[in-house]
Amino acid sequence: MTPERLQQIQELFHAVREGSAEERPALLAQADPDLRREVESLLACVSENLPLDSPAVQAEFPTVTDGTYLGPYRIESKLGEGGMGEVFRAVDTRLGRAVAVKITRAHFSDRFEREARAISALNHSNICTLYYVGPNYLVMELVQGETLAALLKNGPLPVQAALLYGCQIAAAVVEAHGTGIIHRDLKPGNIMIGKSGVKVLDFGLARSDRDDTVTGSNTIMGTPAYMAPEQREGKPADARTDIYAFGCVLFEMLTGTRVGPQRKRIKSRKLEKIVNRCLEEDPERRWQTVADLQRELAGVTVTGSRGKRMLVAAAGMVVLVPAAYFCFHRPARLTDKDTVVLADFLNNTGDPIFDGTLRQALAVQLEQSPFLKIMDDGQVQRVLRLMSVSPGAHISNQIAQEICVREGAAATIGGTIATLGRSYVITLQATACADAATLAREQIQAEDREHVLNAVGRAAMAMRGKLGEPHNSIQKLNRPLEQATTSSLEALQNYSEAYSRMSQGHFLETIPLFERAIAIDPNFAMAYFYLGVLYEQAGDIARGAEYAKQAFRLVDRVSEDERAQINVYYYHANRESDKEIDACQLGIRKFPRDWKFHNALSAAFIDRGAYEDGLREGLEAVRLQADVEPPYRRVLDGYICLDRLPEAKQLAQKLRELGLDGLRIHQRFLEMAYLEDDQAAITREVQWFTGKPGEYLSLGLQAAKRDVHGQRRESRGLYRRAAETAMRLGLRNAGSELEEADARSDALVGNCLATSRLGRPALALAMCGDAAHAEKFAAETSKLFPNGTIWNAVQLPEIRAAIALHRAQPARSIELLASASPYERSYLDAIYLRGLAYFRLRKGAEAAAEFQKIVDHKGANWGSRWEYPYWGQFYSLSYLGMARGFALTGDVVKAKKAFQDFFELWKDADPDIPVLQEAKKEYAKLLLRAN
Amino acid sequence: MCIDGSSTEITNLLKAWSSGDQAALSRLAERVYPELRLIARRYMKNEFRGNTLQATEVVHEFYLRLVDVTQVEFHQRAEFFAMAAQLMRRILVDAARARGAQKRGGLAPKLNLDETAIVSPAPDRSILDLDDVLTAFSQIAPRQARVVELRYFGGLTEEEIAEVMDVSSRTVRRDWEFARVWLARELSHSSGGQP
Repeated sequence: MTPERLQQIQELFHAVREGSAEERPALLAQADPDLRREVESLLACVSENLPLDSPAVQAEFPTVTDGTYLGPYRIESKLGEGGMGEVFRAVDTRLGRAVAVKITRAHFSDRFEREARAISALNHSNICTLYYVGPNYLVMELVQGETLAALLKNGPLPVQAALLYGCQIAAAVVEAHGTGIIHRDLKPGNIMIGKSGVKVLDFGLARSDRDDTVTGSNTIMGTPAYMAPEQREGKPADARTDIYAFGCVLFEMLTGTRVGPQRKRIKSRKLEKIVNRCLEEDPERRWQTVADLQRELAGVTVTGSRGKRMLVAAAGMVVLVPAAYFCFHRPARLTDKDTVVLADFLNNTGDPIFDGTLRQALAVQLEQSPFLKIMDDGQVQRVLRLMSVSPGAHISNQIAQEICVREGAAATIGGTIATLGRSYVITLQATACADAATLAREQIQAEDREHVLNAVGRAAMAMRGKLGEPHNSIQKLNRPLEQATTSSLEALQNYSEAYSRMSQGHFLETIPLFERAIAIDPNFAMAYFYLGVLYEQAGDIARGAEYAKQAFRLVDRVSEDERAQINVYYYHANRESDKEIDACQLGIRKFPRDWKFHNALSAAFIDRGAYEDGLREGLEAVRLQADVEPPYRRVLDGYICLDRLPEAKQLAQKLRELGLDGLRIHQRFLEMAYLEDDQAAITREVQWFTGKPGEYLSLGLQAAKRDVHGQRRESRGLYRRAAETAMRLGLRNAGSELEEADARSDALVGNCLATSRLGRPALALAMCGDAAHAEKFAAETSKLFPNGTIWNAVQLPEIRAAIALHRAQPARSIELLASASPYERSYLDAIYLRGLAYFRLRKGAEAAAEFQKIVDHKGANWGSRWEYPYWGQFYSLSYLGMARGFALTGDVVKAKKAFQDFFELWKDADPDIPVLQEAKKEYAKLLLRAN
Repeated sequence: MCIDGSSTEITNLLKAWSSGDQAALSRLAERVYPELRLIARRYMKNEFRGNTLQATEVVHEFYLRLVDVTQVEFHQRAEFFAMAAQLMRRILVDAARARGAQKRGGLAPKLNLDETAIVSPAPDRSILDLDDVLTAFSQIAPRQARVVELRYFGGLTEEEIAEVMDVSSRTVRRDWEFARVWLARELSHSSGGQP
């Protein structure tokens, strides 16, 4: 060819390339046939992957020697060469971990880098993990052992070994196909047989003709003997291409020869059928998925006649070995009965934002798993106290390990984060507590700070699999971290800080942190959730409900587990008890190991007077989590309300031994002491509270106890102090509840001055005849909780019943209170009002029966509603009610007895209480009549 | 090694070459080849420490080093770059040959090694093949082949090549496009029908 001719070719080449699609045929048609053929053959070579993509020096200087650094990887020695380039043993200097580094001769294409990210996400015990993709090198797991190819040089494998390896290879391929990665070059040379079984190398790294992944060069890297027909023809590879190659490998393992035109027979008919179907020329006729193939292999039972050399036979296994054992038996890492302790991340980045934040992120991600049980932070804090470690301390791996051992947990999971240029390397490691053995390890790289959370999420997901969680469970319950929590590190930082302080028992001070978190990320559902809980606890019911609503609005973004929690709380905050119970039960179904849902359900049941159900759920919560106090409160409430005091006391003793403490626990202890009038216990418990911020609870209980004995003056003083103490703590709700308890007590004993001075609560106002104000308050509450189960069935009817009573419509009162019946075991006020109404109707027996219900369940008088100080309010007065009822029926004996019981309780009562003076007169009259 | 104070020979060659003695260039190339290779190797190692390797930098550093040591002013920068690119090509081809020899006596692979994958031409072949194909191409398309040499082996940019060769950037771009396709076709013939 002459330079002139070449010039012509080049001219036409450019003209055609630059011309439009319509012009091209004409341009080519004008040229002479030779020229045309020449240009057409060149045009056929135009592709995205032309040679000489990067300068030669980059591509052609693999002069890596021992001691050379590639990023953080220090090359130690050359292991050999492969199709893609040279392979070195190297050390990841950040982790001190030995790795294999494969250096290729050309830079990777962008497309390959994208694919490599998917490949590096592959995590399976039978896949050689790709740790990192450099510009022209790959860092991967260092696998010690021999290739299957080397093994096969000694002839065929015993059939069990072939099956064992076959199943492990299939498992690796199933995993990869599950994430859309095709191996493309499966063959004995790519399969390592190491100590821990099969490792398949080089997933997705080979290229097919069209689909060039690794290098820009146009060489085919497949291996013909294992290539499926379609691959040889240059068609794109799919899952079935790997199935063909798998068949070749299995065939070779069984026969010791490669697949050729004359195939050796395989002894097992069943295996032969399986292999033949892998090797069908037409992909449509092969197994369509490796999972199918795997199932089929699992069904093969082989006799062990040739298996004497095999490990299975050596391990003394029976002669008949179903392959299912190989296929589906993986060493169990953790079981779903084990608990895991999370350590804090070792933050090597120098950026404080990762302190605490990543542990929180990891916790959120791992808690999605119904399989793993993460040790409750409350429990961790308690153990830290026992270990004399300060509560906010960094939980190092060592401390986590110690907690793990002390508490009989199974494993710890810890992590490190380090920088690598702009990117970050995150490593997770699960360690068994018993022998400090590494159970699983996961390393992942985040390209920059913004991708760290995402990377932690992915690493955590991979970890779940490695720890033994079934694949389908992970798939079902795995919301990406940035959705499950937040995509903002800063928001998560505030949240984590708040969460950590909360688990150390500080609540109110965490509110600003949560508020900052939602200011940064207005879609941070769990931050709203906790804000709702906190504001509710602090007594800002309206704000609590508002935040509950915000959290609920975002419920589709969060993880299953958080969604279940938010649902429970939302319905709780809206007082929709029926739905709350449904939400709890749904949570229990999804997360049967999570105590929180049982705990919430127990509280909901007890709140509705379903004490037996409440106790059962409380006990279940304790069974699931015996190391934190909330479930014990439920159980104590259950026992107290069911008047099973001996069991309550036994449990109290156990809690003291366990060292489980807390305000609300001691509240129960004091309730129990008052129930039994156990002076020593009362003194001890009151002493416990003295000087503590929670003293308002003790003061409130002391006030209630005075009320039980008619000592209103002292009671009022104590209620006031209790309310002030609560208010000082910012607990507005608790404060006003205590004030209202005081007003209600006044109303009950016929002294409406205090009630009208306070101007609430609605029930007290109604009892005092201020219907207008009572209705006004009721309307406000109705607006706040339009669907409140207890509000509509019990509390609103109570107010209306009290108004009706005052208007001399007792029958109407009884009618109104009918809806309260299913719940009344917890709402003694409803029973009390009904008793009053019967009395007004001159139905003495019915009235006495109502009041009898109250005195017969002394426990419920103290334990039924822990949130509101209704403690004991109706108890003594119910004796008076009974006395009046019996008096009406003419049963003087019973009436006398009830009066005496009442006077005994009120023996040190304030003499000027209206109700007491009336009672004395009535009693005198009764005695007169009797005589 | 090589370019130090005593390298009067290099200085002389450079002076001779810059004053128009074309024969001096090939002798010069022989003499500076090891230096260029050293620079290239060092750049290679740096590349692994995270810097992106630019062949241009190798050549530029080589140039500066020559100027620094020899105090010779290059009037023919273009010629110099052409020489450097040629030298790079030789370095690479030699290295590939050397590796091939090493491989034949090579290591028994034990780890992570895919020992049967080397069915396709050893990738080292690709540079040797390219060398062959490019040599043939330069017979019928000397300008286009030179563009390839400057860009691929010399690491020069389009603009630099245009300056060096005194043609328009457009010509350089079109030559490059065309040459790549041409070479791709020729390479697929030379290693064709793989595997």
